[in-house]
Amino acid sequence: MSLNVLLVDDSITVRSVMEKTLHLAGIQTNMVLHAANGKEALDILGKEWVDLIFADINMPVMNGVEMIEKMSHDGLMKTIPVVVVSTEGSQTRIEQLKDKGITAYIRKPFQPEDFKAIVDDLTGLNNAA
Amino acid sequence: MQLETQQPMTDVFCRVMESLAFYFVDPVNKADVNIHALDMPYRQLSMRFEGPHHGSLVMYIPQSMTPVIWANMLGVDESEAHDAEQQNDAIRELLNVICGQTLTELWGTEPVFNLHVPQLQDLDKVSLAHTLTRPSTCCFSSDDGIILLEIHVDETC
Repeated sequence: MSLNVLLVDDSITVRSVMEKTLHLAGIQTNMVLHAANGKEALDILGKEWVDLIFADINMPVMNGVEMIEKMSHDGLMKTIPVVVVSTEGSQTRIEQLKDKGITAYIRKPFQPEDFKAIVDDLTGLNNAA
Repeated sequence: MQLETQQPMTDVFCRVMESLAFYFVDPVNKADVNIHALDMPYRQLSMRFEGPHHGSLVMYIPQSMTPVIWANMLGVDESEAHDAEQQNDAIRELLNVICGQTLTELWGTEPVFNLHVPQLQDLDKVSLAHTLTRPSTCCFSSDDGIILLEIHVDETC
């Protein structure tokens, strides 16, 4: 199953490393799209079909929380899983994000296994056995 | 405060440098550092944090280290390092991760902190001797030279 993935982070380095990590994790992608903030991500979501989003929280213009809130008001966008990838270590903040509807959380620095475990869960591979 | 921050900061720094930048550093005793080893162009990166504790984390790295970090993070050859802004982006992200991990190491996973955008400044052969003497400064050796890391805590709410 090939996925259309959207990577949202204001750091081009992080987006590049995430894309490389997806490949290292053996995750098959059809299209990998990049956005530097929540606003750019919403623009892309208005034009392209995306299966999965990996997004940072702290970003200029529109942060990750605002992006998730705006997605929740759109019938189609609110069905797209959002995985937050952040340096954030506060369980309090992570619980707040889960209440807002994020699917999962990965803390930086990340490993390919972190991405693989989440994608396997989302695509049902972990339940296949 | 100084005694409580040194070991956690050292642990976090070594761990993140290795896992994110594939860059190996060794903690060194400040008293053993030859002050002339700092007599080279440096870059100062600082990141402010606000929450139950306010302050900033500051890192001083040799300027020659920037393209190495960028190349290591992206898994490309250092000779491909042409875009200064992309290299700056890489070391800002490095400090971002170090800061996030340090705050958790120092104060646990309950507090919520807001992190500001890392600020970057070139230091041309400025004396870092005073930084070396501050109690909260951690010191590391690397292939590119001495690296300094210090934390300033303004206040406790």
